[in-house]
Amino acid sequence: MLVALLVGNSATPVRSDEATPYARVAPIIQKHCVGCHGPVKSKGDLRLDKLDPDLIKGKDGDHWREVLDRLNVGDMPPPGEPAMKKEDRELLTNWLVQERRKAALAKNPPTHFRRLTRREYERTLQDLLGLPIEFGTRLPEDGKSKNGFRNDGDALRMSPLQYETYLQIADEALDAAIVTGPAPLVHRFKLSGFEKADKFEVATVPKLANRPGETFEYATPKGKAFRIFNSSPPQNNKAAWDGTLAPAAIRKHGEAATQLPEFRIAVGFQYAYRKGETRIRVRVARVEPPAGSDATRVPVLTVALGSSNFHGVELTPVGESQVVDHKEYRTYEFTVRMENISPPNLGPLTDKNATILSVWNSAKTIKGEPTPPRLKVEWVEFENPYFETWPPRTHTSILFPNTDLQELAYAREVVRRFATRAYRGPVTAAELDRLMKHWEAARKDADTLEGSLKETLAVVLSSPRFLALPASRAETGSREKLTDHELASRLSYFLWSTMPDKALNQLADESKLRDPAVRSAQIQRMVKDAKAWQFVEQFPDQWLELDRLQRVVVNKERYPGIDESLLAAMRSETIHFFGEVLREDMSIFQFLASDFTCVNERLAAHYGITGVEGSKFRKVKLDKEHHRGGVLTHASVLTGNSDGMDGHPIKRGMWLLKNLLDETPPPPPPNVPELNRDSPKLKNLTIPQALAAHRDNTACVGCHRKIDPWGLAFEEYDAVGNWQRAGLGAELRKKRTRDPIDAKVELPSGVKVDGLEALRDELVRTRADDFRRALLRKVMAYALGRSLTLRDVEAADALVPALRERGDKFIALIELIAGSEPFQSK
Amino acid sequence: MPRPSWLLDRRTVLRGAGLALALPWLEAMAHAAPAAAKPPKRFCAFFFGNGVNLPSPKHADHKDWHWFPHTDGVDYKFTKSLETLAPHRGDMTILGGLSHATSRQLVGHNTVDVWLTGADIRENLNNSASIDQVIARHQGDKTRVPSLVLSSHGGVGTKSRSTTIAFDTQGRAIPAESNPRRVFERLFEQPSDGDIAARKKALTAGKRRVDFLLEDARSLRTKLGVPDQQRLDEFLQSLDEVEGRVARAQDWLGKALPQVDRGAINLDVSPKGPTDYIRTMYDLIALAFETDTTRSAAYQVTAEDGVGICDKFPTILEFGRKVGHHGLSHDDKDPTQGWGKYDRYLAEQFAYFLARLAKVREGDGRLLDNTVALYGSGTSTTHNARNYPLVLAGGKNLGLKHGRFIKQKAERPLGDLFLTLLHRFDIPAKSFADNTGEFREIIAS
Repeated sequence: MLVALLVGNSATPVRSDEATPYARVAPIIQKHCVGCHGPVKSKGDLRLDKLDPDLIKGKDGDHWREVLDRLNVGDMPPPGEPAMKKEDRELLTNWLVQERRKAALAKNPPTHFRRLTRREYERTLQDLLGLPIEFGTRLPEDGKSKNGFRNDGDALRMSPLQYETYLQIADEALDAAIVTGPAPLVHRFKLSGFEKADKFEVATVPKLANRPGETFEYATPKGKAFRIFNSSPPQNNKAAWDGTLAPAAIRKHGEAATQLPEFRIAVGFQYAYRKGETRIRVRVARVEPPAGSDATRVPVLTVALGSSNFHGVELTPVGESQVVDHKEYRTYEFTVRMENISPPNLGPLTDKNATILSVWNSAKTIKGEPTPPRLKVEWVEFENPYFETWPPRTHTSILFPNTDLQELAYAREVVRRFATRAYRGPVTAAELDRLMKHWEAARKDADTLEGSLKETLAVVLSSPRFLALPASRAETGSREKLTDHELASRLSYFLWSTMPDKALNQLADESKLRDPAVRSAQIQRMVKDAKAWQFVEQFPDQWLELDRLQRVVVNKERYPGIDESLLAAMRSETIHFFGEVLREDMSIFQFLASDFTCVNERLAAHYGITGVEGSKFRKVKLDKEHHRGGVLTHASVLTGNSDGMDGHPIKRGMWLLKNLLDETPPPPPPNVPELNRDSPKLKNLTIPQALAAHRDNTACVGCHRKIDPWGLAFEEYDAVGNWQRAGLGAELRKKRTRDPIDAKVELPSGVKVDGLEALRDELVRTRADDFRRALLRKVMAYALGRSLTLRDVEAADALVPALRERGDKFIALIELIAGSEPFQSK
Repeated sequence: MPRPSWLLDRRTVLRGAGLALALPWLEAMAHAAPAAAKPPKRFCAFFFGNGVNLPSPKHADHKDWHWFPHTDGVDYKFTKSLETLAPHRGDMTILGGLSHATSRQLVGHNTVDVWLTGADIRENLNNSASIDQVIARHQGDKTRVPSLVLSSHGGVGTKSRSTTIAFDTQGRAIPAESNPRRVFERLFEQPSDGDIAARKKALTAGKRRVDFLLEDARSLRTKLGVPDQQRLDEFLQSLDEVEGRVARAQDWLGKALPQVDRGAINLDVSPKGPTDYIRTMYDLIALAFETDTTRSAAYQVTAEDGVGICDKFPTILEFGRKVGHHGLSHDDKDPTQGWGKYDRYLAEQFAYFLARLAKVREGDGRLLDNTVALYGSGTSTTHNARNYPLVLAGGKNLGLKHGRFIKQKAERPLGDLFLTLLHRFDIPAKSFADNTGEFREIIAS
């Protein structure tokens, strides 16, 4: 591939931000400023000759900021004084921007203690207890730090309310994991006979011999224990019901919430299933199309649980939808924790306040399709609470079967094992003694051993040692090596957002993770593990600011058909694309230019890519006429950096500089108004013309000359990422403007490019090292969970040659970060 | 027709002034510096469903029975709908043009769930904290009962037609109490020994845990560098506050209950006699404030839509031709006979409450001056979730300024008002729901 060749050849990279020494700017200050701000006159009480040029250690940062703002605004030197030469002004502002950036980094403290993010907390608790409950949804959302990362300790605050919530969750989680007494009654229902329009059959299922938990008797001598109601046929069309399911979807309701799909099997229980695992088994088959039909589409089985309310339902799909491409009946099994399902309200259960189970065919609905793919359902089985053994595994994995230990010794061992896992490292004898002191006090008040242990384990789950990372125990000095277990944790939270697994822990126990070969093998394993989805889903989202998509209000008249599901698909493309680059260990330059992307049916249609069916994302090859490849052309980036009406060159330029080159331009000086496109002056100008007018303003020119060209090269793509030179994008453009597309720009380096493709090539050709450096820094920040210090940045930058030598492979980049000094130290 | 029993003289009428009450807030402040012994700040909110009668200008009743006055500012004239509030003119403000932005497009009945929360329920019915609970969170541990949640129907009802207007800090509906006897018992009677023991045990366990965690965090602190210590300090401060809450809850267990004469309040009421019932609920709130048993109350006087016995109040009272409050709101031919008169009736009950608070002296002023009372609905006319009919009363000592009808030029987020109210309670909130600013107009300069 051409791209790869070019990258390989860029041995002497051109850098636009070559460091400017103070010695070069001092004469300019002397010549233009000191006359009024010096020993003779000191206007505004400001003496530039006395300002400390060391912005890191010096105390004059605020004055220098003022100087930069005045230069940018253009009111210094004032009229009447000799004007500053353009090159001098540029040199001075460059120096100021560069020093201010460094000073900002130097302000970041080298922190080693941060609270877990909401997601990390949830996943750790799930892994620790073996309970797939969405514990984190009750916590407030985490903030985002100034570098855009959500795992940055700077943004991870703590409040009394949050701490109280941790305490509550700890209690509830342990109540779900640890049981007392004999197995409870189990609700086991089998529903069948769906071909009858009015009533299907509900029967209790007897307990299997090898399973614990007697079946709850639904039918009592006096009648039914509670009301079960059903609604299999479409309510308005009972006559047409034959028990098979045509495609349908959850319907939006005019008021709030949603309604059941038009065709479905739905049952309501006037019983609030709030806790425990539910297992649902469904026996289904595809209805064979009538003879002679050439219908090829197949039905898709979706199962959902939820609750009813005054005018609708709230449903959560259970597990993954299943494609049903077989004509004989087969059984599918779904499990879910009821804690994750929206339950009925407290208080009396009614049909409008009930637990709802629904099954439907979620294949795409196509209006007027002669023979839509139909699903037939033989029976549906519901079981809650579902457990294979009693006590369940969640219980025995903490309260292990005790054969010979006295209560105290047993409790001590239970607490030791649990705390060792929860604290992600060995527990000292002193710590264990303190925990046992707590347990002994708890035991006096508690009715059962389990009760007292739950109290002490809840303490473990609320300790800063569990809630924070790496819960450092460094004695003194800030450059100590991480302990083996802390290193295992850092790796694990970096790639998995959760605690280390058995294999990592064992290697930590054996002190082997410092061995580069061992570590490399582990990284390879971790990247391939399903848990790496956490990195894949979070890192690019935060690096590339995909959350911008949620804030854009797309103009519905200009871009009909853009809805939430398409916006979600745009985000998913970038996530899946990133995952592909990672798992396949491709070059990081694929992010800039690639000949493939990842789409589902919805997004493929938006891009004009044919032959993609279904909602799953898959890798597709791109041809030249698609005008896609690399994140610059992803609709997520193009739409996120638009104003919903048109592409927004400033946003796009800023985005590129900030995220791909890590050269965030300084914020505009105070009191500079935003570009207002409604102002009469700009109203009849095209966007490039308006920006040019904006740049003509001295206040803006300094910075915008460095921002706008990058963004203007994106002009070939509209506000939702359509290619505007041909096809649908061109048609839409024709409706709103006759202006030709102008994507010809002169980059700050003086190179002229036309359009995004040329810009991309130019980036790869001349800015390859800058991109490497930027990505290394971003990954470093995410891996460390902190705003980088100057030292961290230098360590990341120093990895550039090694990365180049290793063919820019993404996994190599991860290995380099994991082997770096900041990653290994505290 | 025989006189319904509830129209007889009320058997006992509580007059706050006639009760010998200790002033527990003074007692509670006894260990604080004397200067700190300012009267406590209370918040209460009262909701009724289905909006109000707003006859169009063409309608004969427009002039007299339009809930909102016809002109705004200080010189507004009450129509018959709100006339019963006239004695409190100087203590109240009528507010127009306020609503929660995200539910404006929804059918108005839904707003009962978000009236006090402002949550966005367009996609799902996940709610957020109601303002009374935000205030209770802030100062609820200073009283025996953190907050009082009442409704005429009770419980929580079904989502989007909730029979409570209070939602906790995680957005979960808080079951409302509808039985005045149980409210009284909860407020003023000693719980059973079993209840106390269970509560004690839970609090002891809570205290044990927080004490351990504080020690744990402190020992960790000595091993961290300075920037890390600052982060851990947030843990410590949070734990400290949690510890304080547990300790204060333990204190309340040992404190004497306020002496309240049970006979002084009419607990023999039921929703089948709406006037006595509603007034008793108001009495209970007034008494709870007066004794500083709680500082936050939310009472759903009537539910939205045709929900519950409270929908039948106007029918029991023989207002209008159609059955139920919701029915009256759809009487297009003659809305005033039923709906308008019922508006007036509900305002009259609220006026009764304000009069109760105005009679109790507290510090240099009246209980009413230390109490912010919000009264209103989540729809203007039925089904229209804009221009909520609202009356804000009391709270002069919190810096509120009254005596006007404040209209808006364009629909404005109710969150603006809520944020300003939170600030009046010294809560440093930055936003409330989708507010876009503050509501400075209500503050005395």
